[in-house]
Amino acid sequence: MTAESPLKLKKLCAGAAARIVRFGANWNVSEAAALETLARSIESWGGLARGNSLEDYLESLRAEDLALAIACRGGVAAAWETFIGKYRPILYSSARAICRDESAAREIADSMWAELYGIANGADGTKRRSLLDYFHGRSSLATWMRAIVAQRHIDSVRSSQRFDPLDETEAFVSRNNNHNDEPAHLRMMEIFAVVLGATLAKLSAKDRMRLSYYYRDELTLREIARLMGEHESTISRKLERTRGELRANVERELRKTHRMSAEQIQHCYDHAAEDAPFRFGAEPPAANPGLASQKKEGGSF
Amino acid sequence: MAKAKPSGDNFDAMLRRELRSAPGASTAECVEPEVLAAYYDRSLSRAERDGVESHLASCPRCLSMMASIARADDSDVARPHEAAGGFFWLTRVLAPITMLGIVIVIAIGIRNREQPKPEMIALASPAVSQKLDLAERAPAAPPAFEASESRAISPSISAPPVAGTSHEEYGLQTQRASAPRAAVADLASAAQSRMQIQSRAANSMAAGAASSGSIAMTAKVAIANIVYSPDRSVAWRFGTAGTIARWTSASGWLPQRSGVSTDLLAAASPSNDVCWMVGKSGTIIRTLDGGAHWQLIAPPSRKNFIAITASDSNNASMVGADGAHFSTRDGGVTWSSP
Repeated sequence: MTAESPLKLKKLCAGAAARIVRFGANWNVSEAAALETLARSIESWGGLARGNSLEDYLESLRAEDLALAIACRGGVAAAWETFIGKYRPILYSSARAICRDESAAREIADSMWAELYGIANGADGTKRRSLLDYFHGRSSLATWMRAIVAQRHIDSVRSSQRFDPLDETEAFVSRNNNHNDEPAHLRMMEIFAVVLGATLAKLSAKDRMRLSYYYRDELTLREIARLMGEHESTISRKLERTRGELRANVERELRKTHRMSAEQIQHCYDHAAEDAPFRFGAEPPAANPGLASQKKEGGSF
Repeated sequence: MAKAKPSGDNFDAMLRRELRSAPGASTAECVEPEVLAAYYDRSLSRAERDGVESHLASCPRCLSMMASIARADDSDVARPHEAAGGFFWLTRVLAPITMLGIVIVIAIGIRNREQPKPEMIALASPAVSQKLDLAERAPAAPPAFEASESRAISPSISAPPVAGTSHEEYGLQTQRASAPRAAVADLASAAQSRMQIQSRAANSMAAGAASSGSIAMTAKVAIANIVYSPDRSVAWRFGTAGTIARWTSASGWLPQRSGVSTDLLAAASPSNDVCWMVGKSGTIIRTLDGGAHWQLIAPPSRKNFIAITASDSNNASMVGADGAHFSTRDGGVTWSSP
């Protein structure tokens, strides 16, 4: 915990503001505007209350991007030209990469672009408030914009999914009509899922993240490497190791605790590629009410 | 028991399914987008990083956001996506191979130059001579900005035309000058110069896209603004001094006459034929016929316009650098400001 004196804090802020002013010299960014932005950034960070080092925080801020954001918020035409040239292509290409649908990407990027100018904000109809007000310099402007696009995309997908019909029971019944050995088949699959879920939960945060990025989000090794700050070959090696250990632990648990035979485990693998006959990680549907209680009681083969 | 697939593959399927969970709603524990961005940029302190990581491991929503950031960062800036693969192969594979070939040709050429054959050089076509002049005039190490700017609107900078044009050109001219080896060598030098300029331009653009780019770098990317029609079958590139180029898969990039000389800063293309562009000093132009004719529209203000959206040939809204907002419903005959 580092308690810094008010005088030192002031000095640190003045130094950081001077850096911003220097980067914003072409756009006449004032020291007052820089200090005001820094004050908001520090408040948003909240690290002072936790005793974190303000010096380190101010050092980590992207002064160049903050200067541009301040100038754009101030309506400096030259700054906007710079912003357009550098960040408009990034915004639109990021939206396309994230949404993977041209019209959805355009919709998100257009509305965000408008908000960056501030025309979509201002509840009173007169005050122009730019989305850039929420940029505090903790990351580059480009990454910040990508994060906002990602957030909006997820919210947009979630809101559209609310209107999709979800007849799980009907789908469940139709999917499982081709298994004559119900409910034994279902039970085996569900036990497998429960054991797999429990084994996954025991992994370290980083191992789970790597697996999720690879299997769930289908990122490339290069993308995962960038996210995790590791080399591609390290990611590949660790993924392979985690997967191998996970599989061994799952099979051991199935054999030891649930007394599943090699044939039964193989049966689970053989049917894994089918459309999910059960909902992993969730209670089984009402069509098979007995299975849920059996699982809770720890029934085994 | 039939084994449709090896167990290993199916374990992956089980794993994928187990990890598959839809991103939920944002919770109080969820990390702010800016903090996720800072995590991605490695700007957080060690303690903050650990906190974010422990949350990420249990939050599908934040994990999805991180994955999206990484995916977006991987996407290239300011180029038609159809061309992405081509450009990658051009720069990473074809360019080195071509350069190797050029070096071999140059080596042969140098050997033959020791005993020049004037009558053979004279056979070189005017096109070849022109290329030679260009090569000679090209500075040894032109400033990146000049290289970038001179190529920005030229069809040869964009990926689809680059591959097609330069190779066709090279092949044709090689045929014309097939007999005189010296001319071929000179042609190869010219091609090499072109490739160096092109490579520098591409590097400059890439550098400009990086967040650490200077103001000068920014100017280079500014000239590479591109908009697409809704179905992405048409792309428009616009930039400094009223320069416009239109791209289709059939024609590639074709420069067009905008009729204005001011810098164009933003565009909107609501259909394949209709495109609006705005720029400095109140410039507004519109085409209704795929760029065959650009019509200058009377602006409501002489200030710089920096953004525009359009739903068709009549309805458009634009924003000035000072934040002023104007809309038209009659193709720019009249403008209203809210």
